[in-house]
Amino acid sequence: MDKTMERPPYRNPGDVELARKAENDRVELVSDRLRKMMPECAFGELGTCCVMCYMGPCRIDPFGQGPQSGVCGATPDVIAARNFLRAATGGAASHAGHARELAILLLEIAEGKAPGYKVREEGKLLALAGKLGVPVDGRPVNAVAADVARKALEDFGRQDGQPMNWIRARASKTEYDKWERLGLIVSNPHNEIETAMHRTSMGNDADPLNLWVATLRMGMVDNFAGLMLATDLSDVIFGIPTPKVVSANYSVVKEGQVNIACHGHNPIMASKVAEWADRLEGEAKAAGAERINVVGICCIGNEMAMRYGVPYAGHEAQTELFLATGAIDAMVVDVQCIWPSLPVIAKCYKTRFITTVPFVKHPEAIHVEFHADRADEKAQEIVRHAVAAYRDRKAAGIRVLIPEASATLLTGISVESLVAVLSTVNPADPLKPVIDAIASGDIAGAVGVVGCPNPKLRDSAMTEKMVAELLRNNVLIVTTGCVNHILAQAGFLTGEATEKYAGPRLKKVLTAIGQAAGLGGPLPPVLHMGSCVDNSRIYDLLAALAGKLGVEISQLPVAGSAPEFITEKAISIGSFFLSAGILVHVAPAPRVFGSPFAVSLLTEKLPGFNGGKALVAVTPEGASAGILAHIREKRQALGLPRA
Amino acid sequence: MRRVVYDPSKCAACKTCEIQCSVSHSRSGELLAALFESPPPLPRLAIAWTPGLNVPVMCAHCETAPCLLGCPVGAIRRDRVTDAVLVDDQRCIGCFSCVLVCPYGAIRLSHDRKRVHKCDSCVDRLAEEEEPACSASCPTKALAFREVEELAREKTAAIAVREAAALRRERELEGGAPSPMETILKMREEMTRG
Repeated sequence: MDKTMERPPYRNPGDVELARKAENDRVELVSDRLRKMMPECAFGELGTCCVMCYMGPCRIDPFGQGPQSGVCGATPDVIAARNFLRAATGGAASHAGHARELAILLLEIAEGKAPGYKVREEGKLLALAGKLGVPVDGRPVNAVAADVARKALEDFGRQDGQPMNWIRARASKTEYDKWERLGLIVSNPHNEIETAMHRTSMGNDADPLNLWVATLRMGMVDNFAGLMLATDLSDVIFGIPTPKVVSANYSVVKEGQVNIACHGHNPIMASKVAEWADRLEGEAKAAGAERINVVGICCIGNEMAMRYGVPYAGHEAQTELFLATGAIDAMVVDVQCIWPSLPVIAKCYKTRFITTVPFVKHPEAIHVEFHADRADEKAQEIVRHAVAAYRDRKAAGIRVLIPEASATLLTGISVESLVAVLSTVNPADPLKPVIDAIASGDIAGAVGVVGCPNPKLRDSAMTEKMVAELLRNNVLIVTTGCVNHILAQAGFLTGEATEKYAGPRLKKVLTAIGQAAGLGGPLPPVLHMGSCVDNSRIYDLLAALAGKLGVEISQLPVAGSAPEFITEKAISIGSFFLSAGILVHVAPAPRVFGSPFAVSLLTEKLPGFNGGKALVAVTPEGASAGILAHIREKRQALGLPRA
Repeated sequence: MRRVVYDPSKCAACKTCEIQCSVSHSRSGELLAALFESPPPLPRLAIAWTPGLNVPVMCAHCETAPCLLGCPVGAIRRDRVTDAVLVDDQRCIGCFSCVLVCPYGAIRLSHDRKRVHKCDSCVDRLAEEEEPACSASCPTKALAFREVEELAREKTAAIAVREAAALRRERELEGGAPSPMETILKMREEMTRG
């Protein structure tokens, strides 16, 4: 059967058009490089390649003929556990870095050192202050903000071994007690990261279980010093997301406009660029452009669409294709997922590739170092680069191809805004309708679909097919991260998607909520909760639901899925959800299959410790079947009727 | 008669064989120095693959070698000592007849694309009583330098074991647990299924 016949519902025609253009332009894409890389080395895939010391590199023969331990004597169980912990550490370091930037910014705002920013959500700041034990009565907002920021920063320097402020303030009592029993409460994210690097270097920890517990602790660092801290402070500084309909896909790029694509993760820089793009419209007009069009790629797309309705361009694996449109005047980046291929491709199209962070540079990029104290000045410099590039592009007659592919999505579902929507159904007890629907089986369960778009799984439409199958079985989907671009482009974040994909019982619930909230149609079956750091929102929602039901999070009929993960950040997020006692589905296969200990721990033993469990399934059918079976099991254990 | 033989089910696609082949045929014979040689030392074998299997492909030094028979200028000969099929660079005219007739695709173009380039069975190493670089370096023994007759005897003996295992598996409903390698390869295959 012609393979293309199986794909049309999910294939983005824009991807195909632009890949063809790139080929004509002799631009090498990720798909070309992936093809050349195949087959990839199985020692790496199995997790049993060790490069920690110079007696190696070592690798374990999975067939038992060759070496069965490293030169130092490390077994495959030790090697895989060390490698995995280091990956989780890379992820947690990324998220902690993201969050720490925001804590420093909040302090600068409070001290008047960041004039371009302000506290936008006093309510959320005061609520956080309350939880952190910061006095609020009669104090100016900035004094409270300074204390909240100091509480955050205190965790990064803590040496007294006491639990992190953010865990004490933000974990629910049930979960906190459980983590304390399991030895998973962490004190200082930087110490945890240091210890992880230390214990995994040559000649230290050789106990696989001890190493895996450290990975679960790294998950705690990721959530409480990374995700949750970042979400909390971003909401305070940039605003709590509210529901809005936003346009998506390639057509958000406009030929006659100065196009600035923001790519990366932290709203600190991108929010100012968006602001100055409006304020410098006159300069764009003088250059012959209609206006300045800022669009968001990757997670900055999530951050900006959720809060300001900035067009939601596309995902990480489409970044090269956006450049290939020939219409991007500047691609401005901060941190994470910035492929080194990008500045090279940008050159072919006279796109100015602008890096802004001192530790994310590229020899082919223009570096405009962004500092919060000079944010307005730096944002103007960046926008002016884009306007100048527009002139260059027009003068050079760069051929432009902007595919017509377009979509809209409902975004901006924070816990706060979700509660507001649900209040229209039941003002006294907003979560009750959801709890009732779960209890009756109208909502069979919920799955958080998170993470990245992996080129290895794009041809099989892994995410789209898995989500469609879950929805058909009345499972509600919440999403964060880059993977949401895939679902948005395929039309899953609309009321029509409820008609098209949701099972009859789920459709009934979503239609009722949509009517009560005055949406003029059903609520979409896929609810977009934000960027990858906003996985903390999913945790908050689960904690609220579990609290309401009087159970642990691990007892809920829910799962997390990173169906196409790429980064180490997905490893650390997944590690947190394992710590929280949730089923975590991943594809591609995590690098643990060379370790019998790891496979048995993650699939058989961990469920007994805390309910956490890993599910590895690389086909949409396998993933949805595994997740649905888990949801059925959890419903049965709670005594709920079959959904 | 000894040959490099391969077992695709064990190939991890780490490409150590390709690197060691290049190094062994470099002028310096050392990895770090070989990196800077011009022309670069090309590997004489390659890992072919489909999502479900990795196959190291190299010259089989066929007893009735189509390349040797087809070479119009007699540039391909058989080494009397090792039985290896060898190309004489000085005589090769770059007609690539051998490339066309080789059933394995084991004959490649030289770096300047003017001559051909193929496995020489590491005749220099064999002279020093060392086995070929590819099999010597293979970490999973997917490549091995073996007596062909001995291998044939082993394969015959293995038939009984294999049939017995197949019978046992038939009896079990679930079948045996897959090896980690099989699991990874199966997933790779499933993943690319569009």
